[in-house]
Amino acid sequence: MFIKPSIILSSIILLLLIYACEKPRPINQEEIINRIELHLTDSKGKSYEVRYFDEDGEGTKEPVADTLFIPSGEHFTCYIALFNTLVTPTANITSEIAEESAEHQFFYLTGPGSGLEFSYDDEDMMNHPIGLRFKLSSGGAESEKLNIILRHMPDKTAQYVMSGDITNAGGETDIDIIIPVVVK
Amino acid sequence: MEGLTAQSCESTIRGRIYDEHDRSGLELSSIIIMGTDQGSLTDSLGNYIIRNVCPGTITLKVTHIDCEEIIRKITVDKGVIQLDIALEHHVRQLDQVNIQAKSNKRPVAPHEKINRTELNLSKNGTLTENLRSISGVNSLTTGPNIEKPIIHGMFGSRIGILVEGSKVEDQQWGSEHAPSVNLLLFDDVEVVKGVSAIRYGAKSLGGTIVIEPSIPYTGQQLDGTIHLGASTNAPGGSISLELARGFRAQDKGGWKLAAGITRYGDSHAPDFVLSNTGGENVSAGFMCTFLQDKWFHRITLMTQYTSSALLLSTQIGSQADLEHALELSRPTIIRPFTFGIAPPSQKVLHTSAIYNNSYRLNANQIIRLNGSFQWNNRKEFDIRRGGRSNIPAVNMDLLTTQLEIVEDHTWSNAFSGQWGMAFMHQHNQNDNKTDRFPLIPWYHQINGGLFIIEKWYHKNIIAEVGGRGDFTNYYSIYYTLTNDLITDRKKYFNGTFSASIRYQNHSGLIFTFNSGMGFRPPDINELYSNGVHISAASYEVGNPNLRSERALKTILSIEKNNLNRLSFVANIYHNSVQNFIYLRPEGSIITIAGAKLKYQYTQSDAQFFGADVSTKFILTPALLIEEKSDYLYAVNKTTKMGLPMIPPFSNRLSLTWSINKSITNKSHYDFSVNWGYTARQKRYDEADVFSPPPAEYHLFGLGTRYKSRNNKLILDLELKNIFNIAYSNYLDRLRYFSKSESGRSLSLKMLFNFQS
Repeated sequence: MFIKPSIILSSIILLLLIYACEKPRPINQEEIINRIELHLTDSKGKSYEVRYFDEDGEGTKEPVADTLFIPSGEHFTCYIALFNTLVTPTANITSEIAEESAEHQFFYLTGPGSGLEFSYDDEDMMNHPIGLRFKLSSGGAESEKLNIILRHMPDKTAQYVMSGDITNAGGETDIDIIIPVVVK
Repeated sequence: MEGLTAQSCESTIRGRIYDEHDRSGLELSSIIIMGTDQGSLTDSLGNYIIRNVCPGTITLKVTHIDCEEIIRKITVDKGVIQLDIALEHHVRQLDQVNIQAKSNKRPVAPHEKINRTELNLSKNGTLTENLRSISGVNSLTTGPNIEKPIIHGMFGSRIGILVEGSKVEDQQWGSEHAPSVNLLLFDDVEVVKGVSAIRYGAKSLGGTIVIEPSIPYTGQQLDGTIHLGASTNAPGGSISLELARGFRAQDKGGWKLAAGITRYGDSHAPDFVLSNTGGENVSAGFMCTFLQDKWFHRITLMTQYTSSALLLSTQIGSQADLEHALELSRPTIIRPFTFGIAPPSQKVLHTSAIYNNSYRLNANQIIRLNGSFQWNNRKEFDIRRGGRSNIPAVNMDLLTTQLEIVEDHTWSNAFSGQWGMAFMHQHNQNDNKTDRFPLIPWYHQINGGLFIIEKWYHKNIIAEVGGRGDFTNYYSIYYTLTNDLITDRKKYFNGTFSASIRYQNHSGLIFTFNSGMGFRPPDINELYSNGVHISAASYEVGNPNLRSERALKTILSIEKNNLNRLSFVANIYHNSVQNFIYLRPEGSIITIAGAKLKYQYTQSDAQFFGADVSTKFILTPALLIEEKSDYLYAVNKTTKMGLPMIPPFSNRLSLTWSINKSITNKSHYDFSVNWGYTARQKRYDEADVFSPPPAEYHLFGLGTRYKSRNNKLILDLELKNIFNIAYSNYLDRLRYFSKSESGRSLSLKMLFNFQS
């Protein structure tokens, strides 16, 4: 008869131990990317900057994208920077991507017939492109949309992927945004 | 038989099959007149009747699952012959409590048991895999190795799984969560297809799976069983050991110890490797039974750790990724074969302690107590940036305590019943270091219930009525997508009833009619979930205003058990569910990773109508044909379209040829060939699927089995998907990404029984 009381007693103690746990706290949203900045410098040293901002990350507020105004017939040296403003202090995600550069690749896509021309300007340790730094050149005057996609775990060796064609890249989309571009 | 006219076959044999030790009746014993298809099953008091018996000398075979079979020759004259037969149980002491209890325990509702030999041979396998032999049961899969049972079109928390009377409480609401059940300690697995909510409590709308140990082994020798398994697709193997022994004090009980390990690598589709589909499972359990005069105690401790990899290609971030995956004819990521388990993956640790007790107050009353504590820890890993892949994206601890007290009573030979109280407390605790919104909020849940069931026996009829009242309270703190915490409380109360009748006619046909209500308060995830489903690039949004689901299920079952000729079970059922909870697509949400589909939990009335048949036909003593088919029509009454994940029509046929089979326990060989057909699901809602349901398919298999004398050694070799066809399974949630199910596979199972 000793079994029953001892079982009940030990389970009560176990329960009290485990149940005396803390209540939930707000989540530390370290993984989010909610601000993206694009920096361009033209051949004369003049710089241009646009920002894409999603204030509440996964929340319901619609993200806001600036329009990029650039001159025609110009060459630009560019870089992209990613941030998470939902944690304090604001986290720089760019360095996370740089550390795992072999597992990430940016794609900069323009519509067919666009005068914008893109090329990569950086490499991971396998000499495959990353896209944190890149070159852009503008053609004639146009209104264009620049689609910036970041893929996690893409197959960089798949056909045309290294030249910036996303078709065979695979992987998981971490970023997929559109920046309106006006070439004057 | 030829010369006999109908008039001369007018004799009746009737009597009682009882336990030799305490003279209690043995339910479900079978009595067969050998060489004919005449026979009977005993009712819950052990009574049987066989009518229209022809005069002459006949041989009766009496069998009961827990007893040695008895063969007896008798001479039949005209009139009624009274023949009571005593069977000897393997364990005597126990019968007092256990057998009597057993006869009262089961509700009068259509049910089907897994064949014991088959179960014994596949104990290393999953519960769902083992349930496949039962008609009306399908499996909802997430890749080749994670599966959960579907009974009559319902799954997850709409079916109950009871281990030794305690509900298995893991994260059963998730479709990609396999039930945390290990079968090593158990011997009986039964699917109750009818309404069983009265006895088993809320939520069992579709059916209940009842898992029990057999009568404990109390022999003075160590009884051991070794199970081995190996297969070529999902290459790997399993080994497990069961040991049992009685206490030195004669008939005072015994113990059983079991442990097993399973490890396998990636599965192969016919044309490619299904990358990252390996897994492992480690389990251990201990069961101890004490018998004392009027007391019966059983303590069970079990723990199991399961780690399963999820197909790499399922990790997608947006609608565009999903569309890309749908266009391809292969998974987006194919890597060389590996045994490794990499993210995305899940690790589940389930530990439970169960205590069963019964006490015989007097000849007609038994009090039973059942208590359990379960701890389920679930971790899910995703491919994450910044070295976070090793940090679980989901990490939750679910703690459940259950207590049930039941009084069993027998008023007279005609009336018996039980009433009882059930209580449950459940708490979910989320790890705060996942950096993701938890799928399930922090909550406390309290359930309480009161029920009564009464049975009436009259000749060949058993009738049962029952009623139950339950309350469910939730106290939760959940997250909004803006990282705010909201505290909420919910209360649900539900009353239900059921009525059943079972009738056995002269020729041994058993009719069971069962009708009753079931109910299910909304699950916690349906109320409050708020987050991303990685493998569907979708947001799942809970709905705190949901009401309880109420089901009215009616089932008619016709059954014939004949060990010599034709046996069959046919079920036809209708289930009408009010406030059926499902996910409805509500457009998409734009995030920084692009568009994600948004799904919201909502309610509508639904209707299920189906039939399943399983037939066994002994063509010649050496040739056995088995057939099983399932049909289900399910419709959402609001949209007039199909419901998600409803099994399409399927049919299975097998032919088994035995060499040297006889009643005596000689060694023998079996050869079998089987064919399985699965139709295309034509009734579906386009909003529920990313691509139309896959085409119908046929699968062929071969098997051979060797059984030694007394089943000491069983070897079973099986070849599945002989023609290595590529096919897609509608009930596989990963079909959009995997493109094909597993190809050909050869598997070996071995069972070795020893005593020392």
